[in-house]
Amino acid sequence: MRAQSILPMFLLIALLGTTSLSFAQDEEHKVRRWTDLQTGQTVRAFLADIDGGVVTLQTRNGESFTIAHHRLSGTDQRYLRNHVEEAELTASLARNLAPVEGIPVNGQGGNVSDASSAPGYRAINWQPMETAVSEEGNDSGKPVFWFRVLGDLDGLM
Amino acid sequence: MRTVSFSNPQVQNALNNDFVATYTNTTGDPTAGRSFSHPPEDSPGSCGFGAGKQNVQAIFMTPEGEIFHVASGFRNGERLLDEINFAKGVYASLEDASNPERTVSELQVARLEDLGFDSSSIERGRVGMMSMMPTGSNVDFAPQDLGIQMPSTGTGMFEDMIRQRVLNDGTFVARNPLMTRSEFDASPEKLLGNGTSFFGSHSSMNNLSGNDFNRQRPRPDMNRMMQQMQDFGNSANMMRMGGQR
Repeated sequence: MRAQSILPMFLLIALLGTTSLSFAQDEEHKVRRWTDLQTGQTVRAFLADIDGGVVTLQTRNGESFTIAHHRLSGTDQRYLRNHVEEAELTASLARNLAPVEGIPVNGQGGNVSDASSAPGYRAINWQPMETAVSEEGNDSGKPVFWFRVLGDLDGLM
Repeated sequence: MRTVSFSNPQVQNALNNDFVATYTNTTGDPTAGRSFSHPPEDSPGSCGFGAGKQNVQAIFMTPEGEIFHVASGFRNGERLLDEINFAKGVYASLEDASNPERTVSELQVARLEDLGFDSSSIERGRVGMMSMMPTGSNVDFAPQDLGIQMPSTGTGMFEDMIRQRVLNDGTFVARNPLMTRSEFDASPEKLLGNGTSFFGSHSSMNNLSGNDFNRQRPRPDMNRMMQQMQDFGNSANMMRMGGQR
């Protein structure tokens, strides 16, 4: 169903010679919560576009946000990855999303064979502090690794 | 650490499978150090064990946010894995502990003893030459903070600086077992001191010097670097040791 709806659009995009992938706006069931790891902010929106590793999200009221895909939570990145596989994207678009390949799927661990081009921290499934720690504990019951760092983990530091 | 230590597959597996990983940016925190900043794509420079303790800290907590282990300053992948494995052991011990705080303290002290610290050093929280410094003086700037591996001086001074950092981490947790994250955030100086330290790796220093090695790297943003230099003030001020803000 999903692949069927995306594939024609993908073919059209390929014909237009772009690596951008747009998603149908009318699929309201695809509205989900997205988390910015850097700020901890969340937004309910649907995936509108992926272009060169930049993800565009759009809310139901038409407001658009763009964010680098590796700033999204691990769950969000897996969601993107699933869509990449589902739509059978071209190798060029897959390269744009290369850092996602370092993100482990189903907790099985990542494969970062080329750490020099994909900084290792991107293979870690970073969670917002409020997800990792609470008075009642986190959902997984696992201990917390808190990396306290001067600067932006995904930017200048 | 983000490009080197976290590229270690065992570190990645441990953090993804055995922990919930999170991070915070300490910019603006009074205990934060200073450094040349660079984007994640920059080539990493060499970095010594424990360097930049005010710039990076690996803190291990229970899901409720109680701290049971810390490792301040740089750790390469192998050393970070040591810290992770120790933390896993401490956390496992807490499951059946009748007195979790005491268990944490005892395990921290036992580890320091295993690392060769004598009971006197552990009790005082000072080691070797560092014992000559007044308590709380926070004289902890080390050559490793500039990515410099110093040869032994024979006096043990530089070695003591590194060992002092390990001792600080262990005694901090032993004396404050299961401190909550909010308590730590309210007074991080208990671990990190009140001074201001500077940290710069070889990579960032090369960006300034523009030597042959640097020519093979992405062109640095010199305007950004110069602005940072101006912000930091003169070099003497950059490297002041233990000064109060």
